[in-house]
Amino acid sequence: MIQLENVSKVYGKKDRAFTALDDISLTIEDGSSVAIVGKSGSGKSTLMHVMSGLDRASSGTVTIDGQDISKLKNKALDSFRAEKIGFIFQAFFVQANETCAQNISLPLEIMKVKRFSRKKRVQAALQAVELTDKANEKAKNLSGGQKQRLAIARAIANKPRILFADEPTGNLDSVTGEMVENLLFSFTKKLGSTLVIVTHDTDLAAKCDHQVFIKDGKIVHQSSKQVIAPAKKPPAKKKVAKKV
Amino acid sequence: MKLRDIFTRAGRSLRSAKGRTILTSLAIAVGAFTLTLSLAAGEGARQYADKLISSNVDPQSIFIVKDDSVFGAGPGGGLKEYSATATQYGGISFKTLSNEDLEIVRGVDGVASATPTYIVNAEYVTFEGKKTKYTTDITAYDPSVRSEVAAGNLPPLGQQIETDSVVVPEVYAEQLKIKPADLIGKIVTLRLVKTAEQLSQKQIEQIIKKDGVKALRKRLAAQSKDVMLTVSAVSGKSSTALSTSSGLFISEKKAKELSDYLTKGTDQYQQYVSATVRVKDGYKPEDVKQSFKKAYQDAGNDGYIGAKTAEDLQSLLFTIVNTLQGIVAGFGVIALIASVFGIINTQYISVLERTREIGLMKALGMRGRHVSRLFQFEAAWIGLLGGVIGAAGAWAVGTLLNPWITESLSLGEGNHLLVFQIIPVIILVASLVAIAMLAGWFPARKAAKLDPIEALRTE
Repeated sequence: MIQLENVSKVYGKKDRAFTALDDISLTIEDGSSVAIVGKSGSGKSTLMHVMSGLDRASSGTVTIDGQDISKLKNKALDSFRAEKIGFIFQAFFVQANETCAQNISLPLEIMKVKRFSRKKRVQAALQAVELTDKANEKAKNLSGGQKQRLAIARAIANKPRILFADEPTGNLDSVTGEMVENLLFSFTKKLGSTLVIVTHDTDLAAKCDHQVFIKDGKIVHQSSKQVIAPAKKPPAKKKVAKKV
Repeated sequence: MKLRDIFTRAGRSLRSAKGRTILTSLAIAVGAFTLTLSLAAGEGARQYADKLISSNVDPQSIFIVKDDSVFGAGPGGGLKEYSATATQYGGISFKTLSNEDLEIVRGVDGVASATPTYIVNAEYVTFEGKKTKYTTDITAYDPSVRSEVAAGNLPPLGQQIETDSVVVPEVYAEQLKIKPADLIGKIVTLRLVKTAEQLSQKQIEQIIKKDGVKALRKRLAAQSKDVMLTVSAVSGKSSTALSTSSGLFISEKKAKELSDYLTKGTDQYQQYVSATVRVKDGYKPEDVKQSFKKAYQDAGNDGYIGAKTAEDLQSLLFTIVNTLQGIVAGFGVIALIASVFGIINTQYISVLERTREIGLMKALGMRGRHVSRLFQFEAAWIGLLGGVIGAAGAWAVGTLLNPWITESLSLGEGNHLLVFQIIPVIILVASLVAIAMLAGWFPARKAAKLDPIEALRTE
């Protein structure tokens, strides 16, 4: 469960201060999919960075699985990201000069997974995104869709608890985009992981369980296929939410 | 991240930028090349000097002098205190050893013998069957050094040649255009001219009183004498034997006789520039050398004696070799310093180029320390590559050039100026890797400090 309480993020100091996130409280249940929707500059990316431990909130707490990550030291935060978080970016960020297998191996190496099991997990991830035949192909020789599938394979290789996708289909045509979307949803369902998608694409957002609309660093609207759990909800109801 | 994985990743990203990697490492290679050559040249020169000394100087011998300037103060030498027992040799005045000095030296524990260096200055020499008159150095045969024989026979090591025989170097045979074998048994005539006696006023008066002016004139006239010696051997050319080219060898007994004849009546009679002390087996020349000073004190004599063992002579040569080696190595170090900036520069560019890669790695939870290590390892790889290229290149070039160098410097068969040794080269390459890593530290630190959010925003 991701729990944000009165999270603010301010860049700069004093009269030059810019508030990117303004007192945001939000709870995302385990295994659900959430779309953070907003225009560029709305603060949606900053929100994702703060939630994923890439960035630190100026105030407020970010609690993930009962752990307040805003209190973690840098080293602990790094290993927290390595073990629990998966990232997918709009620009893919695959290493062009490395093969697909080497790309997927990176997060596993960072997690210090043993060589033997690393190989197996790389194979499994490649199979999952149907890139097995491209295992030893350099990433620069892949098409855009294949690159994003590779990025997904890399993100799921360490079986993350939470998968963050920043405009995952932004650089893809609608057909490949849909294919990538389907992959994302099916994996998180299979792994029981939480999926957080940052997007301005309302069609993609509609496919998620919940939608959080951001404007000027504030949540302006929340909607859901089901019921989104409001912040400061008593913990007892967590189970109820899961059953639903 | 494990060290091994960082290491392979570093190697991989270098391979993907082959051109840049090779160019950067070539800068290091230049330094490594020069340093390897200087190591090899130093080692070669030392080995050669060692060979030179051990084939010319008996390790159990000590070379003694009265005047340290014999050991290469060079000509001139500025103002020197006048000494009645000084002699001129090669235009330079030296204080000399007297028989008294030699007796003190002979009395030292461990000394087997002390043989003075007899100087025989012949006016000229002639060879049987040739009319030309030649000048040459004439020295006593050194039985402690075995020369190669081109013709005739030399006695076994430690034994003197026959009193009336002479050993001619092979080069002389070439100059005379006589086959070495044909020289054996031929007569060599030494023309010795004795300088006039130096008589005091009193002596002159006495002679005139006793025998008349005629007798005096006779005493004051220069005397000359022909000494005939038979060639018993022609010594062969040896690249490491210094003595082969130095002149005719006559027996020690003959040398003493002639030297005495030439100097009798002058103040140089039985005065020697230098002498060779043989140390008994089981005694260290260094220890014996130290005892000389004490022996003088015990004899109630405040005289001075300069002594150099074979090792001292060696270290003298080594000092020169080391200085030369240091100069060559200096150029190598300058090349290395240049290459250090090369590495810093390329790695900085590499960090800038790979901002997104670094950002991604950090986003995925890679520790800043590990990112830094990745870049340092890349620098280390560059250092290793450059070091290996340079050292291997120097090795190959040196091995190819060695025969040519040996020939043009006439070092003699089997002697090489460049001697490559694997251990120093390995140490050199290892230190190049360390230097490269040190150079890689600055860009690596920049990479480690990169903010992943900023880095990933870069489009």
